[in-house]
Amino acid sequence: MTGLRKRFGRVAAVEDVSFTVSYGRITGFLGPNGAGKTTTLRMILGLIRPDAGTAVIAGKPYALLARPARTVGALLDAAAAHPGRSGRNHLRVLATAGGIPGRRAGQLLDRVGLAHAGRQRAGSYSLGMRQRLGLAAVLLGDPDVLVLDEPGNGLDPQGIRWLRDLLRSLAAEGHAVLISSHILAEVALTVDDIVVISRGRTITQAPLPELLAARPGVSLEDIYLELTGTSEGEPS
Amino acid sequence: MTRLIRAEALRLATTRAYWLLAAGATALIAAWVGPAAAATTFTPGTSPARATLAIAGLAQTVALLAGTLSITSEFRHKTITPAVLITPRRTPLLAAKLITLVAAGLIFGLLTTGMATAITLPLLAARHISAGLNPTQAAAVIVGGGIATALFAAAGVGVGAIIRNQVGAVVAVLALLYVAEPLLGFIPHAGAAVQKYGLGGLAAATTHTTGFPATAQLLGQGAAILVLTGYAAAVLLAGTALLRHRDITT
Repeated sequence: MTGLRKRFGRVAAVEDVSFTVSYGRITGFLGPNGAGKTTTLRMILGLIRPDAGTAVIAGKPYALLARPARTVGALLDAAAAHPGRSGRNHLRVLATAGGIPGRRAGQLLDRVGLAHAGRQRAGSYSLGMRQRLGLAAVLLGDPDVLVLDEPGNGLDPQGIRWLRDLLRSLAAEGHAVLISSHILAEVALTVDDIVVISRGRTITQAPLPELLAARPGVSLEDIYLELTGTSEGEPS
Repeated sequence: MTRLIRAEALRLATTRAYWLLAAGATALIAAWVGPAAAATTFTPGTSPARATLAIAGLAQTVALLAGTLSITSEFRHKTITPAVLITPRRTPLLAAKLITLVAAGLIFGLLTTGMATAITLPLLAARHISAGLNPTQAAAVIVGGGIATALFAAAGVGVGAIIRNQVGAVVAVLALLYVAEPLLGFIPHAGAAVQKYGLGGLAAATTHTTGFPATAQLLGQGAAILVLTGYAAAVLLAGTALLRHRDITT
């Protein structure tokens, strides 16, 4: 995406964000709260109309993708399931709309470790279970590109390891993965490339090893805090 | 489009709120129509059956609410985001909801009005009261009940797309039906137009029952269906335009 910009009323949420996500790699999307990460992700996905700039996935704006569910899988908010509907039915509705065979719902519940809870109402799920349900929805169409906003939120250590292995294996299969996170230790273990934005602007885009090699002995956390100008620990 | 409609039908069928609304309204209509037919002293010159069957108009209120919920609950529970991610073209998404809700409204309206008629006519006959409703008119009541309920569901989908806040939309709908229209109906001269062209009067005319008050002058059934269709089309057009243009931030 290039030159993305969005204002909400008088507040400039995103001023100028540009970066590229490559197939076969995991890109970590970092930035302080309010930096414009979620707005940027929503612009990439056609949910928010940018005031300027364009975002394309596989050469097309999201809204023009012929088979969106098979091209992009996105998880923006783990709470996005009707509390009265079972996890299984939540997936069945999305699969039906996306032209995906209904049996994928059961397969994916299995894959994300929710097979035992598929018939329970989503409202009874813990945050970690909702993240898993959201990830199942993302994987329904076996998409080439994954966009995940804080997918590790609420996962237990086993869940975090499982997620990391899942993302690594997807990248190894050639999928492009864009993941936003505040948990830098986890990011350092997972991603190949780093994009940092602050106050609505891209500050840096680089492969993680390159970023670390430029400052020997300095942790990703320290580099990040310097880049975003919040190393004193004050809220931005 | 077929798969979108199938998805919406599944969404509807797997949401308890709709079943609870339908079951509650059906029970309420039965519990209200029975005693009304069994015990009311009817005003001479009016049709006892039509006055009693006006109670089944609750089906239209429920359909309007259900149509509204079909959109507002997506925003309330944030499921609008996955729904639009799977179906980025928002007009077909709204159209699928509309078709599903209209079909459900039609079936629900036919069933509840049919049930109310099946309760009312034997009870009136048992009391040796002339129902004032011949078989052709009874058919007009039941078919009209289906059509009116379907059109109210359609209008509800439009309202939901305009007012995305669930509480706000439900309050607006109920305030219009049960506060604004009845009160405006009391205004001299202008009130008669509200009784005729308001949602209540149009529902009564479409279902071939009596309005509020029972002496209100109503449109003919065909004309009322046309006006009601026009209202539904207007809110749906506005709702579609808004849904297409608004950012989805929840």
